[in-house]
Amino acid sequence: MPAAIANRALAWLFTVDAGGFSGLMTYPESPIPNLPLPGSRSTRGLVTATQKASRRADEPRRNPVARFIRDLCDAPTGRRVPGTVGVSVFAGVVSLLASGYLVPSGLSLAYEDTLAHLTIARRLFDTLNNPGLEQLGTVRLPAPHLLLAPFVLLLWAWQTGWGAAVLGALCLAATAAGSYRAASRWGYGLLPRLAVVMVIVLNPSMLYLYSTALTEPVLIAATAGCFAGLSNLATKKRRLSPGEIAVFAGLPAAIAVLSRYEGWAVALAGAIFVGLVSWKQHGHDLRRTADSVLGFVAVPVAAALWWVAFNWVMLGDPLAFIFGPYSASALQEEMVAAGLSTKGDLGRTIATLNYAVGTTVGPLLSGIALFGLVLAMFARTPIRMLGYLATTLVTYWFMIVSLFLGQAIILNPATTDTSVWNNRYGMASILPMAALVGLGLEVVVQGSRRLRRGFGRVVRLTIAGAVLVAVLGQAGWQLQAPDERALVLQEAHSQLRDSAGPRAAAEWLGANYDGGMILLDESVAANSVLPLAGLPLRNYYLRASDQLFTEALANPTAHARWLWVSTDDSDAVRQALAGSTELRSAYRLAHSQPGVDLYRRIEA
Amino acid sequence: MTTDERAELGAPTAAPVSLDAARLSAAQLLYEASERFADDHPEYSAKPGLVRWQRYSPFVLAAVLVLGLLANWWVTLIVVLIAANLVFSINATFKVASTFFRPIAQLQHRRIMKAEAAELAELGLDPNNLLARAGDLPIYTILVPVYHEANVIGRIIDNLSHLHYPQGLLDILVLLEENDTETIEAARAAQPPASVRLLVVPDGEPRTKPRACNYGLLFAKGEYVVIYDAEDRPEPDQLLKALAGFRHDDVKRRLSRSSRPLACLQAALNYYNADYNVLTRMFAIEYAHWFDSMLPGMDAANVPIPLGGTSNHFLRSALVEVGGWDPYNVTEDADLGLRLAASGYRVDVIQSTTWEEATAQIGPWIRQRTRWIKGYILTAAVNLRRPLKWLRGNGVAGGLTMFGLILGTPLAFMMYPLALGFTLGSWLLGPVFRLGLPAWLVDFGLFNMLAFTILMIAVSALAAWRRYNWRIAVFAVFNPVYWLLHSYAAWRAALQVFWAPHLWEKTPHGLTEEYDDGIIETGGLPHSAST
Repeated sequence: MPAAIANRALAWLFTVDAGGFSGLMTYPESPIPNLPLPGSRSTRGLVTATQKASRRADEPRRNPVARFIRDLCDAPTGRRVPGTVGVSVFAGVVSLLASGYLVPSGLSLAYEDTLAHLTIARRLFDTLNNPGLEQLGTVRLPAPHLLLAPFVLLLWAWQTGWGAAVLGALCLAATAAGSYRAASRWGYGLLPRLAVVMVIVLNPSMLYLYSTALTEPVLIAATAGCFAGLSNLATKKRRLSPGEIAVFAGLPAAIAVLSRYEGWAVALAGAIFVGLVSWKQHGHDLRRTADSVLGFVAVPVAAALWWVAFNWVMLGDPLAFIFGPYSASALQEEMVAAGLSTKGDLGRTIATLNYAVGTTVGPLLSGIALFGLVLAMFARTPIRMLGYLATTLVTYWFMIVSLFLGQAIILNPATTDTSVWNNRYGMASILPMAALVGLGLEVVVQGSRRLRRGFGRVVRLTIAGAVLVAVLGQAGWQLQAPDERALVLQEAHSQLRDSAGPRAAAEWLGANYDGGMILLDESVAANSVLPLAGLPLRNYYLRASDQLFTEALANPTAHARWLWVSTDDSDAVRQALAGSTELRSAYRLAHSQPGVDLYRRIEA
Repeated sequence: MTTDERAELGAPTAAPVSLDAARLSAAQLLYEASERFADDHPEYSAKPGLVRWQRYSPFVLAAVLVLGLLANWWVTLIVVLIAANLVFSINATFKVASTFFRPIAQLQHRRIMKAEAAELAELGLDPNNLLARAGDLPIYTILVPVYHEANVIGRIIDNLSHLHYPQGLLDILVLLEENDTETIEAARAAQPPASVRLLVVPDGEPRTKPRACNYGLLFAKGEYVVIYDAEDRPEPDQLLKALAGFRHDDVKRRLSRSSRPLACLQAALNYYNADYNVLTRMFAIEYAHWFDSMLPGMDAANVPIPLGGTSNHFLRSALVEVGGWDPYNVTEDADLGLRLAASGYRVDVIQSTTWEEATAQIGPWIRQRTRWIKGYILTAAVNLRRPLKWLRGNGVAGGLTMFGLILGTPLAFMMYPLALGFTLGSWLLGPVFRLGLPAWLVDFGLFNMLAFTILMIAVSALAAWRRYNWRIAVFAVFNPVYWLLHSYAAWRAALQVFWAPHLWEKTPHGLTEEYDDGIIETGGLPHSAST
């Protein structure tokens, strides 16, 4: 309907009709057809949007559900993959419904990282000074914040987390669509394609993560988009031009590169896959293969180079994001020293990651995926598809390397008895897992076609039902006891409990704020509560305010009505307060929570 | 050739000239095709190239720039950046404004049409019977210049055979170059019908398409003339539509409507391989915006229209009167559009489409675009040899086209990398890149680039969505990257204006490989020009 209205509006804008000269000339003596008058549109050759809209209006009306079902049954036709829109809408709606519970409950803001990401996104335009990209840098890659920024323009959307939830819904729609399109391109039938979508969309950990401002939604969506592009390249009869490869596969890879460091591995693996496929497609022509690879890597490499240059310009160190004081390895030094990482221990590394993947993707579906892989081997799946599946496992391989080198740390029962941390890093493996579930199902479905017709149909329906039961059953099982069976949710609850004090302080500040500036050192984790106060960031003197923060810290009385003082000794505001009797006498304790004290200036 | 000999030649006529006669007076015919225009209209001819002040101006400008940088690089940089942003703004404003002018003009057009219909009815004239019956159709000449087109020449006859026009009234001239033996042989092997004449243009300089067209014009029999390229596939009713347009103009002028006589009707160009790769998509978007939005908008605003190089339908007498094409101008079409306007004629657009093949490879695209931009520069240089005199003669409307489009386009593309680089650098790499420049300049540059880029993307996407579909239109977001190719071509063109102003870098056709997963409706036409 909107498309038809838009088409009619465009037709009105850009079409000249015959005006006062109605009717056409006729030539009774020749076969020359009626002569259209000046200004009238041609009826041959070009099919206008108006004509298309008219045709659609003349077709029997179908309801969207019937049309969606019909599209699902259609195979890809050239460039069109029927059902993409329906799958996207389905995923987006499910995500929003899940957010409808998670956001009001506050669970979507449980992770400290999600609040930090929300703050960084908001700071791009809402800051005391130097708004813009200068707010980015160090270990956190910029794409999630840049994409989140428009959704947190409204203070309310930022404070409640709905801005992140809406972006998450769009990301889940993109993830589902990308995976569905990839499955379609590889020739999966209806049931396997639906299974791929169900595995992704009906996963409690996925639905939770996609309601937050964590980086998984953008990373996984971009990765799914890249995989869809690679599938298109590998399965198409027509050879894609380097430009098309850059747009359909390289661009999503670039977004992944700027989302998380797994994205860099995705780009590398994608380049290798493009090279191998193109080498075969172009008949071992080195130049054309190189053009294809160049087309793919151009945008991700440009993105990576920009990030390096950005770190160099802003922080004076091009590799600050790897080795700088705010890099992952620096921030995790203490944990590595305490023996909590799996650095140097391959066995523990694999066990830890498998545990994380198992609890995020789900144990049952992980098992089905492995079974699907075995079936695929026996079914002599084409090498090209196996190569593709190996490419989709790149995030898994990357995490193995990261954990082994101590660049990343995951805590779960495979490493410690009690702590859970960063198990969401296993979530990106849901893409290859879903693909393997679908592949296994496809092998079984194809096998059932060799059975007698009626029996084969029964077998297929049974399998479909079994997969649906598996997906829903696993989801239900995880939700029964999320703290035990879904580590992502367990970690959310844990962080919610651990940061109860600062959260309560932030909410109190928001409720009792009566104007004036707030002096706050966000480097002591206060970044992760700023959204909860719901106050514009330009009301704060933060470290991100550079010189203004230094000046305010030197003379808080003249600058700030409120002081946020953490109990952490490294808090600069705490140090200033502790070091000045005059300052302590100028402020009174307005509110106190475990871990945080709020001071208000005593007004004359 | 002496003056007396030239005087004996007289003006070209519409009388049919036999090939025997062509052989006997080859030198004379060559003169008519190559040199007559320069002799008769030196003020309009690109043969002399740049005049002295135009040749020295870039060097003077470069010297001033170097001196400025040495004296005070900061101030100089500010001036240059302001100039770059202004040039970009002027060109973008022209393109966007002409787009928005069209819908407004649509409403006026409908009111005028209704008023005219009522007026005709009062005079007892049937508006449906104004145009000629079959017996009154005139001879229509079709010129098809070809060069190194052996792989597509066979398609020409087939493409033109679909035209809805009595075959006996079609005068099709395929213009071949004497040294292009391969294409000549291929043309003969295609065994063209009687309505098609193969005309071999004798070897000579400059070897350009307008020279060939001028030569063909000497042999033309028709009252109307149209140019098609080798790979063109016009809509079957295009000639009839053009004829209707001319006859309608006759009627309007007989009703004493104060309008200049119509000399040319420009049809829209469409690409049947628009979805082949990213380059063809961008080309298709650009042309959709140009032909569906800009040209009609410029037409409605009564500013001179640069023609499109193909699918131009001329009133032959008007074409001859203004001297035909300038054989020394590599964008003879743009030049002719301005010259027709300056001579008191009008150019209009018709709602008819010719399908073409978009250049699908970057190398040929660069060369093609270099030629077009070089032609724009030369056209501007030719017309602005005496700028004030030209402005007095052509008025505000002519000035808008000249400075907003003809001159504005090459300058904008040449300055684009600087404006873009500065904007992106200061935005993506922060204070280091800003070099201590004033905040207002940084903000102005950012706003300028952002606002006009978004507007250009929006209007071109709308035009492409209207003509093709959203899958093509969505690529409009890559316009900023596409414009970088234009920038490269613009600088290449600027250099060629000095060392090879009349060089014609031929665009090869038939580069597209046939494919079966097209996403645009081409009415069953193949995607490759050589299919």
